[in-house]
Amino acid sequence: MQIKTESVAGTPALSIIGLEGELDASNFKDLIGAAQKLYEQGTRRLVLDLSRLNFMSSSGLVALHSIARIFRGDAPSDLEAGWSAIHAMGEDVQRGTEPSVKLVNPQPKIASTLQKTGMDRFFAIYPDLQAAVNSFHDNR
Amino acid sequence: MKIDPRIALIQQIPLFSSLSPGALSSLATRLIERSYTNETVLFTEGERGDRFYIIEAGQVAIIKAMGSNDERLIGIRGAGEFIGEMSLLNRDGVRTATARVRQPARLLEMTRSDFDALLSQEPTIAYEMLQVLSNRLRVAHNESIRDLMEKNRQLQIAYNELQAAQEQIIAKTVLDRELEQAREIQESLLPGKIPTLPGFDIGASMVPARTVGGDLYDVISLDPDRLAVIIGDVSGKAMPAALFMAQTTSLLRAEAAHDPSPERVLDRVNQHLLAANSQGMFVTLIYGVLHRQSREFCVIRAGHEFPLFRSPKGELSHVAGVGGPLIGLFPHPILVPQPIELPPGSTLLLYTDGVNEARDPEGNFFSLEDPEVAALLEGPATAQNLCDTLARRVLDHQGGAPQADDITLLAIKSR
Repeated sequence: MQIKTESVAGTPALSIIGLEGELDASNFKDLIGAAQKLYEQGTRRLVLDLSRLNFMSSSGLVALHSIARIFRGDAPSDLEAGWSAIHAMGEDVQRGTEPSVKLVNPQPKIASTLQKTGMDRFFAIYPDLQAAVNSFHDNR
Repeated sequence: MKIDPRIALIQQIPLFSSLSPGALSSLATRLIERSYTNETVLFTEGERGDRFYIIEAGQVAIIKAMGSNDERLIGIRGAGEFIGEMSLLNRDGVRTATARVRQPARLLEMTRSDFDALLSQEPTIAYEMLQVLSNRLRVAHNESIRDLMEKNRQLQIAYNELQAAQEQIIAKTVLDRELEQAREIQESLLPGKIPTLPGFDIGASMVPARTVGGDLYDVISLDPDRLAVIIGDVSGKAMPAALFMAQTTSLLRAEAAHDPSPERVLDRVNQHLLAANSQGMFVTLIYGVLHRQSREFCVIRAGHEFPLFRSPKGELSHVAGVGGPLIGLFPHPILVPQPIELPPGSTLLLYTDGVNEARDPEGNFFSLEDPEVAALLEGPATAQNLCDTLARRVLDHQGGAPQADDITLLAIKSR
């Protein structure tokens, strides 16, 4: 799988990660690593472009969830932060969806996986990059 | 070559340096001059030899154990030097090394009989010979010692490596044993004998991707008229998934025993997992209660794969429905139960994504829509046989490709 990152000027820093190929157990950690790196470099808004992703296994769900936690400022190994992060994530579900990480244009099979698992209620999904990037400015 | 230069050459050789001019002269005439091309073997280690060579031009290599693993070059002799002298002194005349020409060479040869004649005329040569021999012996001795020390050093290294390897094997054996124990524990968490319910035939099959896995299934007898049926898939694989699986299975059993209603069980288990879950793991689940009298399977699909339903007429469909999100992630998941009618002659197949995401070496997915699957569901096989056969089909489809995920199948046949 190819991971392409690009940053968009503005504050707080916004980055786009484009995925091409297949996301599975062999490479999901690479995706988490890429997101972690962006966060450490100052990115606080992330758009995941899924339009060229052909396949996503359950490891992909783990990656999406881990990325959401990272963008909450939650280092994965921290127990306390983990619990409060999940709490916080859930509260966002009450209000809407995860505010810092957005998904773009998943292919049908992946879209149905997101729907089947309920992840589509957790991440906002947009039909194209423009809509996703704009949503940050509109604050939803 | 004229005689005088030959005498000069011979005189340079320490062995003959003390000879009188007359003796040198007669020696010079007795020597036979021969030319040899490169790579020619003059004599071989171990053979009998009867001559000694003085090098006029070119080079000769002295080699021990030529052709074996221990072959080594002892020396290179050039113009003015001599070789093969050991066989002159050694009455048995066995060559102690191999001599091979290195550059085209011109050699003067002396046979043993010539040498013996010389010795009787000029006994002082014996002293020179002794000097040469003792030098050669000392050099050879030192080389042997160096050789032995090197071999000893290598043996020590090999021994250390062997010890390290042995420690690794022991550590791995311990780990393998622990893994095997974990596997046995996990197996004991699965239903040994599937509880029965009149009017239904239930079977299940599981193939973990590693020794231990993250899939789970359970069939719990609630009372004479009801069974709880569960299938699930923990995120991840191997030991971490297995530990989470054990936790989830135990929680499900405990809650079902307390109050088996699907919404309550899944909500309670979700709360428990959230409280205990620091790693962000989650599980997809199908939890349902099968009612004997109404033939209704009242189920919640929490993020899990859609069950496959075969109607009594043979029509196949995936059971759609809202269900709920996966468990262990959200504090207040919306869980919507759904009744599935199972009239006599129908079959409901529950499975994990190790089935529909199994790929052959070319990357093609296993398809539950395949007519072969429909034929299997059609057939008279028991629920258990159905699951076992399907599991085998998935593995066959996989072929040589590595198993990417745990494979679990659970079938409910309504009779």
